[in-house]
Amino acid sequence: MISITSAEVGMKINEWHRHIQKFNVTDAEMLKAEIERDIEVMEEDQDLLIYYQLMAFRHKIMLEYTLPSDENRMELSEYLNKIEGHKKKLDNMRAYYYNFFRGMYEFRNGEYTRAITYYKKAERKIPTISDKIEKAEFYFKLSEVYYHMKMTHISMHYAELSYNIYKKHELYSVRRIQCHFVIAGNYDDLENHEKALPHLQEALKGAELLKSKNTHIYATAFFNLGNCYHKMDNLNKAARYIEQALVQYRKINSDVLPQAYHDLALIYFKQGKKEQAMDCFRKGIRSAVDFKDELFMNLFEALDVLYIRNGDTPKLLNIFSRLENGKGYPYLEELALLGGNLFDYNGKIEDSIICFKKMVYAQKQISKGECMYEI
Amino acid sequence: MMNEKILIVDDQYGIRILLNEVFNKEGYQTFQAANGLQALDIVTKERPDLVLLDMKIPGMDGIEILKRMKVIDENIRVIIMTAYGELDMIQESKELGALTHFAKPFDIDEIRDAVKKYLPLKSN
Repeated sequence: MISITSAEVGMKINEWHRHIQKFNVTDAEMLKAEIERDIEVMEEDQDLLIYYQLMAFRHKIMLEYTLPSDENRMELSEYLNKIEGHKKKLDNMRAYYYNFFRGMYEFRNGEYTRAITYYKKAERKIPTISDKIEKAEFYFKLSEVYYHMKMTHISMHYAELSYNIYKKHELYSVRRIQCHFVIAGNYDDLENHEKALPHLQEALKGAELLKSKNTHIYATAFFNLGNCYHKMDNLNKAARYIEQALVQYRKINSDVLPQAYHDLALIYFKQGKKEQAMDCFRKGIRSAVDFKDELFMNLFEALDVLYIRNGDTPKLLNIFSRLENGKGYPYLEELALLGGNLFDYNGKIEDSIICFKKMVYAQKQISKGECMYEI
Repeated sequence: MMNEKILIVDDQYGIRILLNEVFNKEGYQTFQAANGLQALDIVTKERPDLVLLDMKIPGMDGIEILKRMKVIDENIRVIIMTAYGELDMIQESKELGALTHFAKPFDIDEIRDAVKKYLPLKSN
Protein backbone atom coordinates (compact mmCIF):
# COMPACT_ATOMS: atom_id res chain seq x y z
CA MET A 1 0.00 0.00 0.00
CA ILE A 2 1.63 3.26 -1.14
CA SER A 3 1.09 5.99 1.43
CA ILE A 4 3.92 8.41 0.71
CA THR A 5 5.47 9.77 -2.45
CA SER A 6 9.18 9.64 -3.21
CA ALA A 7 9.18 13.46 -3.40
CA GLU A 8 8.04 13.62 0.23
CA VAL A 9 10.67 11.11 1.29
CA GLY A 10 13.24 13.10 -0.72
CA MET A 11 12.34 16.18 1.34
CA LYS A 12 12.86 14.19 4.53
CA ILE A 13 16.29 13.11 3.29
CA ASN A 14 17.09 16.80 2.69
CA GLU A 15 16.18 17.49 6.32
CA TRP A 16 18.21 14.47 7.44
CA HIS A 17 21.19 16.03 5.63
CA ARG A 18 20.75 19.27 7.57
CA HIS A 19 20.94 17.31 10.85
CA ILE A 20 24.05 15.50 9.66
CA GLN A 21 25.68 18.82 8.74
CA LYS A 22 24.99 20.14 12.23
CA PHE A 23 26.13 16.85 13.87
CA ASN A 24 22.67 16.50 15.47
CA VAL A 25 23.14 12.80 16.06
CA THR A 26 19.83 12.09 17.82
CA ASP A 27 17.70 13.98 15.30
CA ALA A 28 19.60 12.41 12.40
CA GLU A 29 19.13 8.92 13.85
CA MET A 30 15.41 9.47 14.41
CA LEU A 31 14.84 10.82 10.95
CA LYS A 32 16.89 8.01 9.39
CA ALA A 33 14.65 5.45 11.11
CA GLU A 34 11.52 7.31 9.95
CA ILE A 35 12.79 7.44 6.36
CA GLU A 36 13.57 3.72 6.40
CA ARG A 37 9.97 3.03 7.44
CA ASP A 38 8.71 5.34 4.69
CA ILE A 39 10.78 3.60 2.03
CA GLU A 40 8.94 0.35 2.83
CA VAL A 41 5.61 1.87 1.78
CA MET A 42 6.81 4.40 -0.78
CA GLU A 43 6.12 4.33 -4.53
CA GLU A 44 8.90 2.69 -6.56
CA ASP A 45 11.74 5.14 -7.22
CA GLN A 46 15.31 4.01 -7.90
CA ASP A 47 16.68 7.57 -7.69
CA LEU A 48 15.29 7.97 -4.19
CA LEU A 49 16.99 4.73 -3.13
CA ILE A 50 20.33 6.06 -4.41
CA TYR A 51 19.79 9.35 -2.59
CA TYR A 52 18.99 7.45 0.61
CA GLN A 53 22.07 5.28 0.08
CA LEU A 54 24.34 8.30 -0.34
CA MET A 55 22.94 9.94 2.78
CA ALA A 56 23.20 6.73 4.82
CA PHE A 57 26.89 6.60 3.89
CA ARG A 58 27.35 10.21 5.00
CA HIS A 59 25.42 9.48 8.21
CA LYS A 60 27.78 6.61 9.01
CA ILE A 61 30.86 8.79 8.51
CA MET A 62 29.28 11.48 10.69
CA LEU A 63 28.85 8.88 13.48
CA GLU A 64 32.46 7.73 13.07
CA TYR A 65 33.56 11.36 13.43
CA THR A 66 31.33 12.38 16.32
CA LEU A 67 31.39 9.10 18.27
CA PRO A 68 34.76 7.60 17.39
CA SER A 69 36.27 4.46 18.82
CA ASP A 70 39.74 4.92 20.33
CA GLU A 71 41.54 3.63 17.25
CA ASN A 72 39.38 5.43 14.70
CA ARG A 73 39.65 9.15 15.54
CA MET A 74 39.65 11.40 12.50
CA GLU A 75 40.52 15.02 11.88
CA LEU A 76 37.92 17.40 10.42
CA SER A 77 39.80 17.53 7.12
CA GLU A 78 39.71 13.75 6.89
CA TYR A 79 36.00 13.79 7.69
CA LEU A 80 35.31 16.30 4.94
CA ASN A 81 37.45 14.35 2.53
CA LYS A 82 35.50 11.18 3.29
CA ILE A 83 32.03 12.66 2.93
CA GLU A 84 32.86 14.54 -0.26
CA GLY A 85 34.49 11.54 -1.88
CA HIS A 86 37.14 11.38 -4.57
CA LYS A 87 37.06 14.58 -6.67
CA LYS A 88 33.92 15.58 -4.68
CA LYS A 89 31.93 13.10 -6.73
CA LEU A 90 29.79 11.96 -3.80
CA ASP A 91 29.04 15.50 -2.70
CA ASN A 92 28.11 16.62 -6.20
CA MET A 93 25.76 13.69 -6.53
CA ARG A 94 24.18 14.47 -3.16
CA ALA A 95 23.71 18.13 -4.09
CA TYR A 96 22.16 17.08 -7.39
CA TYR A 97 19.61 14.83 -5.66
CA TYR A 98 18.94 17.45 -2.97
CA ASN A 99 17.75 19.93 -5.58
CA PHE A 100 16.15 17.32 -7.81
CA PHE A 101 13.86 15.99 -5.08
CA ARG A 102 13.08 19.49 -3.80
CA GLY A 103 12.06 20.39 -7.36
CA MET A 104 9.93 17.27 -7.63
CA TYR A 105 8.24 18.05 -4.31
CA GLU A 106 7.44 21.64 -5.33
CA PHE A 107 6.18 20.45 -8.73
CA ARG A 108 3.80 17.95 -7.15
CA ASN A 109 2.46 20.70 -4.90
CA GLY A 110 1.83 22.94 -7.91
CA GLU A 111 4.56 25.40 -6.88
CA TYR A 112 5.96 25.64 -10.39
CA THR A 113 8.21 28.68 -9.93
CA ARG A 114 9.93 27.04 -6.99
CA ALA A 115 10.06 23.71 -8.80
CA ILE A 116 11.91 25.28 -11.71
CA THR A 117 14.30 27.10 -9.37
CA TYR A 118 15.36 23.78 -7.82
CA TYR A 119 15.45 21.89 -11.10
CA LYS A 120 17.76 24.61 -12.43
CA LYS A 121 20.03 24.17 -9.39
CA ALA A 122 20.09 20.42 -10.02
CA GLU A 123 20.88 21.08 -13.66
CA ARG A 124 23.90 23.16 -12.67
CA LYS A 125 25.33 20.03 -11.03
CA ILE A 126 24.91 17.99 -14.21
CA PRO A 127 28.35 18.91 -15.66
CA THR A 128 29.94 17.35 -12.57
CA ILE A 129 28.25 14.05 -13.32
CA SER A 130 30.31 12.27 -15.92
CA ASP A 131 27.78 9.56 -16.72
CA LYS A 132 25.90 10.34 -19.93
CA ILE A 133 22.91 8.15 -19.14
CA GLU A 134 22.42 9.92 -15.81
CA LYS A 135 22.35 13.21 -17.73
CA ALA A 136 19.88 11.80 -20.26
CA GLU A 137 17.63 10.61 -17.42
CA PHE A 138 17.60 14.08 -15.91
CA TYR A 139 16.85 15.78 -19.23
CA PHE A 140 14.06 13.30 -19.87
CA LYS A 141 12.48 13.99 -16.49
CA LEU A 142 12.68 17.73 -17.13
CA SER A 143 11.05 17.26 -20.54
CA GLU A 144 8.15 15.47 -18.82
CA VAL A 145 7.83 18.13 -16.12
CA TYR A 146 7.74 20.98 -18.65
CA TYR A 147 5.32 19.01 -20.83
CA HIS A 148 2.89 18.74 -17.93
CA MET A 149 3.38 22.46 -17.27
CA LYS A 150 2.47 23.02 -20.96
CA MET A 151 5.81 24.80 -21.46
CA THR A 152 5.99 23.21 -24.85
CA HIS A 153 9.19 24.62 -26.32
CA ILE A 154 11.24 24.07 -23.17
CA SER A 155 9.94 20.53 -22.91
CA MET A 156 10.90 19.97 -26.54
CA HIS A 157 14.42 21.25 -25.84
CA TYR A 158 15.01 18.78 -23.01
CA ALA A 159 13.38 15.90 -24.87
CA GLU A 160 15.79 16.52 -27.73
CA LEU A 161 18.81 16.65 -25.40
CA SER A 162 17.73 13.41 -23.82
CA TYR A 163 16.94 11.69 -27.13
CA ASN A 164 20.29 12.66 -28.62
CA ILE A 165 22.05 10.78 -25.81
CA TYR A 166 19.75 7.76 -25.83
CA LYS A 167 19.97 7.27 -29.57
CA LYS A 168 23.68 6.55 -29.16
CA HIS A 169 22.94 3.85 -26.58
CA GLU A 170 21.23 0.88 -28.12
CA LEU A 171 20.05 -0.57 -24.81
CA TYR A 172 17.80 2.36 -23.92
CA SER A 173 15.02 1.68 -26.41
CA VAL A 174 12.19 2.27 -23.92
CA ARG A 175 13.47 5.76 -23.12
CA ARG A 176 13.88 6.53 -26.84
CA ILE A 177 10.23 5.60 -27.35
CA GLN A 178 9.20 7.73 -24.38
CA CYS A 179 11.15 10.67 -25.85
CA HIS A 180 9.14 10.27 -29.06
CA PHE A 181 5.93 10.32 -26.97
CA VAL A 182 6.92 13.59 -25.27
CA ILE A 183 7.98 15.23 -28.55
CA ALA A 184 4.74 14.16 -30.24
CA GLY A 185 2.69 15.35 -27.24
CA ASN A 186 4.31 18.75 -27.54
CA TYR A 187 3.57 18.91 -31.28
CA ASP A 188 -0.04 18.01 -30.49
CA ASP A 189 -0.19 20.84 -27.97
CA LEU A 190 1.07 23.15 -30.72
CA GLU A 191 -1.75 21.83 -32.95
CA ASN A 192 0.92 20.56 -35.30
CA HIS A 193 -0.34 17.00 -35.55
CA GLU A 194 1.37 16.28 -38.86
CA LYS A 195 4.70 16.70 -37.12
CA ALA A 196 3.62 14.53 -34.21
CA LEU A 197 2.72 11.56 -36.40
CA PRO A 198 6.24 10.52 -37.57
CA HIS A 199 7.39 10.45 -33.94
CA LEU A 200 4.43 8.32 -32.91
CA GLN A 201 5.01 5.95 -35.83
CA GLU A 202 8.67 5.65 -34.92
CA ALA A 203 7.62 4.96 -31.32
CA LEU A 204 5.24 2.22 -32.47
CA LYS A 205 7.99 0.64 -34.59
CA GLY A 206 10.27 0.54 -31.54
CA ALA A 207 7.50 -0.69 -29.23
CA GLU A 208 6.67 -3.57 -31.58
CA LEU A 209 10.14 -4.98 -30.97
CA LEU A 210 9.47 -4.92 -27.23
CA LYS A 211 5.88 -6.13 -27.21
CA SER A 212 6.60 -9.47 -25.52
CA LYS A 213 8.53 -7.77 -22.71
CA ASN A 214 6.73 -4.46 -22.36
CA THR A 215 3.04 -4.63 -23.21
CA HIS A 216 2.33 -1.27 -21.59
CA ILE A 217 4.58 0.69 -23.91
CA TYR A 218 3.25 -1.21 -26.94
CA ALA A 219 -0.33 -0.37 -25.91
CA THR A 220 0.57 3.27 -25.27
CA ALA A 221 2.17 3.59 -28.70
CA PHE A 222 -1.18 2.59 -30.28
CA PHE A 223 -3.11 4.79 -27.86
CA ASN A 224 -1.05 7.90 -28.56
CA LEU A 225 -1.40 7.40 -32.32
CA GLY A 226 -5.15 6.98 -31.88
CA ASN A 227 -5.41 10.19 -29.87
CA CYS A 228 -3.37 12.10 -32.42
CA TYR A 229 -5.68 10.98 -35.25
CA HIS A 230 -8.66 11.85 -33.02
CA LYS A 231 -7.32 15.41 -32.70
CA MET A 232 -6.96 15.47 -36.49
CA ASP A 233 -10.63 14.39 -36.77
CA ASN A 234 -9.60 11.25 -38.62
CA LEU A 235 -12.03 9.15 -36.63
CA ASN A 236 -11.64 5.89 -38.56
CA LYS A 237 -7.90 5.73 -37.97
CA ALA A 238 -8.29 6.97 -34.41
CA ALA A 239 -10.75 4.16 -33.62
CA ARG A 240 -8.54 1.52 -35.24
CA TYR A 241 -5.50 2.47 -33.15
CA ILE A 242 -7.39 2.81 -29.88
CA GLU A 243 -9.05 -0.58 -30.47
CA GLN A 244 -5.56 -2.08 -30.74
CA ALA A 245 -4.43 -0.21 -27.63
CA LEU A 246 -7.39 -1.65 -25.72
CA VAL A 247 -6.48 -5.21 -26.70
CA GLN A 248 -3.03 -4.68 -25.18
CA TYR A 249 -4.16 -2.73 -22.10
CA ARG A 250 -6.65 -5.50 -21.31
CA LYS A 251 -3.86 -8.09 -21.30
CA ILE A 252 -2.16 -6.30 -18.40
CA ASN A 253 -5.33 -4.91 -16.78
CA SER A 254 -3.82 -1.43 -17.08
CA ASP A 255 -5.22 1.49 -15.12
CA VAL A 256 -5.36 3.36 -18.45
CA LEU A 257 -8.37 1.18 -19.42
CA PRO A 258 -11.04 3.70 -18.26
CA GLN A 259 -9.46 6.41 -20.40
CA ALA A 260 -9.05 4.14 -23.42
CA TYR A 261 -12.69 2.95 -23.22
CA HIS A 262 -13.84 6.54 -22.74
CA ASP A 263 -11.95 7.85 -25.76
CA LEU A 264 -13.11 5.00 -27.96
CA ALA A 265 -16.73 5.38 -26.83
CA LEU A 266 -16.55 9.10 -27.67
CA ILE A 267 -15.16 8.37 -31.14
CA TYR A 268 -17.92 5.79 -31.79
CA PHE A 269 -20.57 8.26 -30.61
CA LYS A 270 -19.14 10.89 -32.98
CA GLN A 271 -19.23 8.32 -35.80
CA GLY A 272 -22.84 7.47 -34.98
CA LYS A 273 -21.91 3.86 -34.11
CA LYS A 274 -24.24 3.73 -31.13
CA GLU A 275 -24.08 0.00 -30.42
CA GLN A 276 -20.28 -0.09 -30.30
CA ALA A 277 -20.23 3.15 -28.34
CA MET A 278 -22.60 1.74 -25.72
CA ASP A 279 -20.50 -1.41 -25.39
CA CYS A 280 -17.36 0.69 -24.70
CA PHE A 281 -19.34 2.99 -22.43
CA ARG A 282 -20.53 0.10 -20.24
CA LYS A 283 -17.11 -1.58 -20.08
CA GLY A 284 -15.48 1.75 -19.39
CA ILE A 285 -17.74 2.54 -16.44
CA ARG A 286 -17.01 -0.90 -15.01
CA SER A 287 -13.25 -0.35 -15.31
CA ALA A 288 -13.49 3.18 -13.84
CA VAL A 289 -15.32 1.71 -10.84
CA ASP A 290 -12.78 -1.12 -10.54
CA PHE A 291 -9.88 1.34 -10.56
CA LYS A 292 -11.78 3.85 -8.37
CA ASP A 293 -11.07 6.41 -11.09
CA GLU A 294 -13.35 9.30 -10.11
CA LEU A 295 -12.21 11.55 -12.94
CA PHE A 296 -13.33 9.07 -15.58
CA MET A 297 -16.53 8.24 -13.67
CA ASN A 298 -17.37 11.94 -14.14
CA LEU A 299 -16.35 11.89 -17.79
CA PHE A 300 -18.50 8.80 -18.48
CA GLU A 301 -21.39 10.59 -16.83
CA ALA A 302 -20.77 13.48 -19.22
CA LEU A 303 -20.89 11.11 -22.20
CA ASP A 304 -24.20 9.84 -20.85
CA VAL A 305 -25.59 13.40 -20.66
CA LEU A 306 -24.34 14.44 -24.08
CA TYR A 307 -24.84 11.35 -26.21
CA ILE A 308 -27.35 9.10 -24.47
CA ARG A 309 -29.77 11.59 -22.88
CA ASN A 310 -29.19 14.13 -25.64
CA GLY A 311 -28.34 16.97 -23.31
CA ASP A 312 -29.32 17.79 -19.77
CA THR A 313 -27.69 21.15 -19.14
CA PRO A 314 -28.12 21.37 -15.32
CA LYS A 315 -26.62 17.90 -14.98
CA LEU A 316 -23.76 18.82 -17.30
CA LEU A 317 -23.07 21.96 -15.26
CA ASN A 318 -22.96 19.80 -12.17
CA ILE A 319 -20.30 17.60 -13.80
CA PHE A 320 -18.39 20.72 -14.86
CA SER A 321 -18.26 21.86 -11.24
CA ARG A 322 -16.71 18.54 -10.21
CA LEU A 323 -13.90 19.08 -12.70
CA GLU A 324 -13.00 22.50 -11.37
CA ASN A 325 -9.66 21.63 -9.84
CA GLY A 326 -6.02 21.62 -10.92
CA LYS A 327 -6.09 18.18 -12.52
CA GLY A 328 -9.61 18.59 -13.86
CA TYR A 329 -9.33 21.89 -15.79
CA PRO A 330 -7.79 20.45 -18.97
CA TYR A 331 -10.59 17.84 -19.06
CA LEU A 332 -13.16 20.53 -18.31
CA GLU A 333 -11.85 22.57 -21.23
CA GLU A 334 -12.20 19.63 -23.63
CA LEU A 335 -15.57 18.56 -22.28
CA ALA A 336 -17.03 22.07 -22.43
CA LEU A 337 -15.84 22.43 -26.02
CA LEU A 338 -17.38 19.08 -26.89
CA GLY A 339 -20.67 20.09 -25.22
CA GLY A 340 -20.66 23.53 -26.87
CA ASN A 341 -20.16 22.08 -30.34
CA LEU A 342 -22.76 19.39 -29.80
CA PHE A 343 -25.42 21.82 -28.52
CA ASP A 344 -24.58 24.19 -31.37
CA TYR A 345 -25.01 21.35 -33.90
CA ASN A 346 -28.39 20.50 -32.36
CA GLY A 347 -29.53 24.14 -32.48
CA LYS A 348 -29.44 24.65 -28.69
CA ILE A 349 -27.63 27.96 -28.95
CA GLU A 350 -28.13 29.11 -25.34
CA ASP A 351 -26.79 25.86 -23.95
CA SER A 352 -23.84 25.96 -26.33
CA ILE A 353 -22.99 29.49 -25.11
CA ILE A 354 -22.99 28.26 -21.49
CA CYS A 355 -20.54 25.51 -22.50
CA PHE A 356 -18.26 27.82 -24.47
CA LYS A 357 -18.17 30.26 -21.54
CA LYS A 358 -17.17 27.40 -19.28
CA MET A 359 -14.47 26.42 -21.76
CA VAL A 360 -13.03 29.94 -21.69
CA TYR A 361 -13.16 29.87 -17.89
CA ALA A 362 -11.23 26.57 -17.83
CA GLN A 363 -8.64 27.98 -20.24
CA LYS A 364 -8.14 30.99 -17.95
CA GLN A 365 -7.62 28.72 -14.96
CA ILE A 366 -5.04 26.70 -16.89
CA SER A 367 -3.26 29.91 -17.92
CA LYS A 368 -3.09 30.98 -14.28
CA GLY A 369 -1.33 27.71 -13.54
CA GLU A 370 1.06 28.36 -16.41
CA CYS A 371 1.99 31.80 -15.16
CA MET A 372 5.01 30.88 -13.14
CA TYR A 373 6.72 34.19 -12.67
CA GLU A 374 6.20 36.19 -9.51
CA ILE A 375 8.29 39.22 -10.52
CA MET B 1 51.93 -5.24 -5.61
CA MET B 2 48.62 -5.88 -7.36
CA ASN B 3 45.50 -5.39 -5.26
CA GLU B 4 42.49 -7.67 -5.38
CA LYS B 5 40.12 -6.61 -8.13
CA ILE B 6 36.43 -5.82 -7.76
CA LEU B 7 34.09 -5.11 -10.65
CA ILE B 8 30.97 -3.04 -9.90
CA VAL B 9 28.16 -3.58 -12.42
CA ASP B 10 25.21 -1.20 -12.10
CA ASP B 11 23.48 1.06 -14.59
CA GLN B 12 23.01 3.68 -11.87
CA TYR B 13 25.94 6.06 -11.68
CA GLY B 14 25.25 7.00 -8.03
CA ILE B 15 25.59 3.39 -6.88
CA ARG B 16 28.76 2.89 -8.92
CA ILE B 17 30.52 5.94 -7.48
CA LEU B 18 29.45 5.08 -3.93
CA LEU B 19 30.69 1.47 -4.09
CA ASN B 20 33.79 2.60 -5.95
CA GLU B 21 34.55 5.07 -3.17
CA VAL B 22 34.02 2.50 -0.41
CA PHE B 23 36.11 -0.30 -1.93
CA ASN B 24 38.86 1.95 -3.23
CA LYS B 25 39.32 3.26 0.30
CA GLU B 26 39.46 -0.33 1.56
CA GLY B 27 42.39 -0.97 -0.76
CA TYR B 28 40.76 -2.90 -3.58
CA GLN B 29 41.37 -2.13 -7.24
CA THR B 30 37.96 -1.29 -8.67
CA PHE B 31 36.39 -1.34 -12.11
CA GLN B 32 32.97 -0.09 -13.16
CA ALA B 33 30.50 -1.23 -15.82
CA ALA B 34 27.12 0.31 -16.65
CA ASN B 35 25.83 -2.60 -18.74
CA GLY B 36 26.35 -6.27 -19.52
CA LEU B 37 28.63 -5.83 -22.52
CA GLN B 38 31.01 -3.54 -20.63
CA ALA B 39 30.99 -5.98 -17.70
CA LEU B 40 31.86 -9.00 -19.85
CA ASP B 41 34.60 -7.04 -21.57
CA ILE B 42 36.18 -6.15 -18.20
CA VAL B 43 35.84 -9.75 -16.97
CA THR B 44 37.67 -10.95 -20.09
CA LYS B 45 40.45 -8.35 -19.94
CA GLU B 46 40.94 -7.76 -16.22
CA ARG B 47 39.84 -11.03 -14.63
CA PRO B 48 38.36 -9.41 -11.49
CA ASP B 49 38.35 -11.53 -8.33
CA LEU B 50 34.85 -10.51 -7.32
CA VAL B 51 31.86 -8.90 -9.02
CA LEU B 52 29.09 -6.83 -7.42
CA LEU B 53 26.31 -7.33 -9.93
CA ASP B 54 23.00 -5.47 -10.10
CA MET B 55 20.20 -7.68 -11.44
CA LYS B 56 18.18 -5.04 -13.25
CA ILE B 57 20.17 -3.56 -16.07
CA PRO B 58 18.93 -2.39 -19.47
CA GLY B 59 19.57 -4.91 -22.22
CA MET B 60 21.15 -8.09 -20.89
CA ASP B 61 19.71 -8.80 -17.42
CA GLY B 62 21.72 -9.86 -14.38
CA ILE B 63 21.04 -13.58 -14.81
CA GLU B 64 22.29 -13.53 -18.40
CA ILE B 65 25.38 -11.55 -17.40
CA LEU B 66 26.08 -13.99 -14.56
CA LYS B 67 25.80 -17.00 -16.91
CA ARG B 68 28.18 -15.44 -19.42
CA MET B 69 30.66 -14.42 -16.73
CA LYS B 70 30.76 -18.01 -15.50
CA VAL B 71 31.54 -19.17 -19.05
CA ILE B 72 34.50 -16.76 -19.19
CA ASP B 73 35.69 -17.57 -15.68
CA GLU B 74 33.92 -20.39 -13.86
CA ASN B 75 35.61 -19.49 -10.57
CA ILE B 76 34.57 -15.84 -10.58
CA ARG B 77 32.97 -14.76 -7.29
CA VAL B 78 29.73 -12.85 -7.68
CA ILE B 79 27.56 -10.99 -5.16
CA ILE B 80 24.24 -9.85 -6.54
CA MET B 81 22.26 -6.70 -5.77
CA THR B 82 18.49 -6.53 -6.23
CA ALA B 83 15.87 -3.83 -6.00
CA TYR B 84 12.14 -3.83 -6.66
CA GLY B 85 10.44 -6.98 -7.87
CA GLU B 86 13.51 -9.06 -8.56
CA LEU B 87 13.13 -11.55 -5.73
CA ASP B 88 12.54 -14.39 -8.18
CA MET B 89 16.01 -13.81 -9.59
CA ILE B 90 17.76 -14.44 -6.26
CA GLN B 91 17.20 -18.20 -6.21
CA GLU B 92 18.14 -18.57 -9.87
CA SER B 93 21.34 -16.57 -9.43
CA LYS B 94 22.33 -18.63 -6.37
CA GLU B 95 21.83 -21.81 -8.40
CA LEU B 96 24.18 -20.27 -10.95
CA GLY B 97 26.80 -19.76 -8.26
CA ALA B 98 26.18 -16.30 -6.80
CA LEU B 99 27.61 -16.16 -3.27
CA THR B 100 24.98 -13.99 -1.62
CA HIS B 101 22.66 -11.11 -2.34
CA PHE B 102 21.87 -7.63 -1.05
CA ALA B 103 18.58 -5.81 -1.46
CA LYS B 104 18.74 -2.11 -2.25
CA PRO B 105 19.00 0.07 -0.30
CA PHE B 106 21.72 -1.97 1.38
CA ASP B 107 23.79 -1.38 4.49
CA ILE B 108 27.26 -0.31 3.40
CA ASP B 109 28.90 -2.05 6.36
CA GLU B 110 27.16 -5.33 5.56
CA ILE B 111 28.23 -5.28 1.93
CA ARG B 112 31.75 -4.27 2.97
CA ASP B 113 31.89 -7.20 5.43
CA ALA B 114 30.61 -9.62 2.80
CA VAL B 115 33.26 -8.51 0.32
CA LYS B 116 35.97 -8.83 2.98
CA LYS B 117 34.69 -12.32 3.81
CA TYR B 118 34.71 -13.57 0.22
CA LEU B 119 37.71 -11.57 -0.91
CA PRO B 120 40.11 -10.87 1.95
CA LEU B 121 42.90 -8.47 1.09
CA LYS B 122 46.19 -10.38 1.01
CA SER B 123 48.07 -7.26 2.06
CA ASN B 124 46.12 -7.22 5.36
